[in-house]
Amino acid sequence: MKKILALLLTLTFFTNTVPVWSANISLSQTPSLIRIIIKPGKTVTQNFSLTNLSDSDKVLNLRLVPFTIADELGNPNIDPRATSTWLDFLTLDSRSPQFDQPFTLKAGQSINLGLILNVPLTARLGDYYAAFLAASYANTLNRSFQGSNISATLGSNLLISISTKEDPPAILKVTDLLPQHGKYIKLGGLYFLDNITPLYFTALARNEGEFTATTKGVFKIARGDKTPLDMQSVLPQYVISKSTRLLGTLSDTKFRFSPRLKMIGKYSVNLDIRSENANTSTQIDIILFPAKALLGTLATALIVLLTLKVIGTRKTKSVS
Amino acid sequence: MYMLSFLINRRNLRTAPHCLLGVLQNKLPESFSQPLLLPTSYCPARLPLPLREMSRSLPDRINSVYKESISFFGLSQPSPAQKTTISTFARAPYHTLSKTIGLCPKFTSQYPKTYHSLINPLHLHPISLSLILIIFTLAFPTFSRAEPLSSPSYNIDTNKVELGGGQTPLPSPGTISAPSTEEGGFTSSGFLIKTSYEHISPSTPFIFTISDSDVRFGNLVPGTPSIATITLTVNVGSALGYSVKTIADHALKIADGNISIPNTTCDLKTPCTIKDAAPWKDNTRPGLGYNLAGDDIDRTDFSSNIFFRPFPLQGIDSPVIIMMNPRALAKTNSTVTFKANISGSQAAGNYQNNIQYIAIPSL
Repeated sequence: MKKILALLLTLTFFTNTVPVWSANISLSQTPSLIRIIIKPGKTVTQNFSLTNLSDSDKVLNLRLVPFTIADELGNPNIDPRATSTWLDFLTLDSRSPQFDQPFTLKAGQSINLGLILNVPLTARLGDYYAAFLAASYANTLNRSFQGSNISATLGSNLLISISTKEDPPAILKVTDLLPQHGKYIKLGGLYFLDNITPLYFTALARNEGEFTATTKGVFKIARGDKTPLDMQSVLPQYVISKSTRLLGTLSDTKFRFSPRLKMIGKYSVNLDIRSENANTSTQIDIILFPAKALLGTLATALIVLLTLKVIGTRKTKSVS
Repeated sequence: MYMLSFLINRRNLRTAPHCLLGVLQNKLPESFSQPLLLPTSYCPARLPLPLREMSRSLPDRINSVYKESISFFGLSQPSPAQKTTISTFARAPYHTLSKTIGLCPKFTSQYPKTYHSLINPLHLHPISLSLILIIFTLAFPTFSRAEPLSSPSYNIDTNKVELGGGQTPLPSPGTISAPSTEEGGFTSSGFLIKTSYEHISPSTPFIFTISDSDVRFGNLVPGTPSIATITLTVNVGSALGYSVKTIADHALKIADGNISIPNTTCDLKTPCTIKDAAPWKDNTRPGLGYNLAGDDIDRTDFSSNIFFRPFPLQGIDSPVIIMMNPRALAKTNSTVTFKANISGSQAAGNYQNNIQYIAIPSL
């Protein structure tokens, strides 16, 4: 009897065990960025798509977090606890889950979120920025659990300009157009650079206006007669009000230029930004010269002369 | 200069150099404003056989040099515009040489001193001379006023270039376009919405994945740190770049209690902060911290797996960036390693907290 009871208990233990595993969290949201230019008194709806790509159902929560600044790489400075009164301009349509009201999204399911922007007639003209966040909801932890509960938050950026003009004016300045740090010698206003290795240039754009600007333009290197030798498109990026953005190309945050060996002398490096609402230009002069080749040549010549001198000395000794 | 070096190396120093260079004038199209330097065929008998054969055929090639790209002695020639142009810097020594010793002076015993003083003023050994000539030839290539206009993005292949003038509008930015406009007519509708850049497919969503929704430390034993890992994956999709930030709601603490395991401060000699990792090897030091490895992390800060940081705490700190790339690839992964350790005096209980990872596309 005892054996049968033990067997039953064992079977029960193995058959009724609850499997415990850590489910993953995978979310997607699109579009990642929207820029809205809108007149006071107007209303517009933008649809977002939120998908639960996790292996299991997730409880999610929608939030809006305002921000006012971004770093030089375009990362908005977000504090999840931040709030602002202008967020009242934004609501979700009746078919969508509402802000701060947790809802369940099944595994593999997508949901459309209709974000309504309703700008009052009395709204202050200017820019407003926010991140539209979808966060996996932090469940109440089991008391027997020891560790950290992980939640994922995914965001889309909203750049809103309340303006009476389609291209609200921006004050954009290109600053710090420079060769790569440590790769040049500066004398006066001239930058001396070696013409063998590829050159890299960095530049910053500062938006001192009240509205977002776009960095659309051209980076070019020219001789003194302004004939361009190299031209690269500046990647159009948003520079939000009162912030600075590192300019670059589609593939890099620097401009790369490979001079030819025969390019020796003075050249100008020019950066032109001509977007719909901001124009700016800046230029520096560089001197290209074969610094490494000259050093190598001098070193080689020195070695050759020393060798010849040694050979000559030996010959003299052998003759004497 | 290339030929000169070549012939010197071929031990033709005493017979050939003064015959190498000639200025072929009045045999080119009118568009050639400058004389073209070519290897002369005036003294073929003194040239080595391969050069002699080439020099014989050169006059026939002159008429086609304007349109065709030919190669002299294996040295490829640049674009057609460059073939017609020889800079003053490069031409001057050739003229000097030609005028001094003539185009094809017969090399007899009356020339040695002139020849030696000109070619070898330092009376160097021929091998040394050739070495120096080769170095200087490579170090001071010829100038050319005509430059090909190219960049990694495009290559303009034309004889006439009109760019950069004051009245010339800027060229379109190649494959990069301005943000696309989904809703038009600002005047009529009163709004304008731009949702993406045309150079990145707008249909690809931004995806953020965390491999596990909880990190279990199990039973913590004083002096024996508990280690757990999760993987963060970002697929930027239509975004240009991204950042992932982290923040904890509080330190690990007993549910419904105030007793906590403090955030790590790493080793006593090398304290760490929420933005600066430091070694945490001393297992007598209690706390909770994390290490990062993989893509788009600060590798200088997390230079090895013994470097840790404490988590920023909500209400005290701002979220801290742990992954970031302004020009991200399609998919990036990083591994977060958690380390928890307690001291011998830590109160018994289950310690918990919530850690949030925030993935935001860049602007």
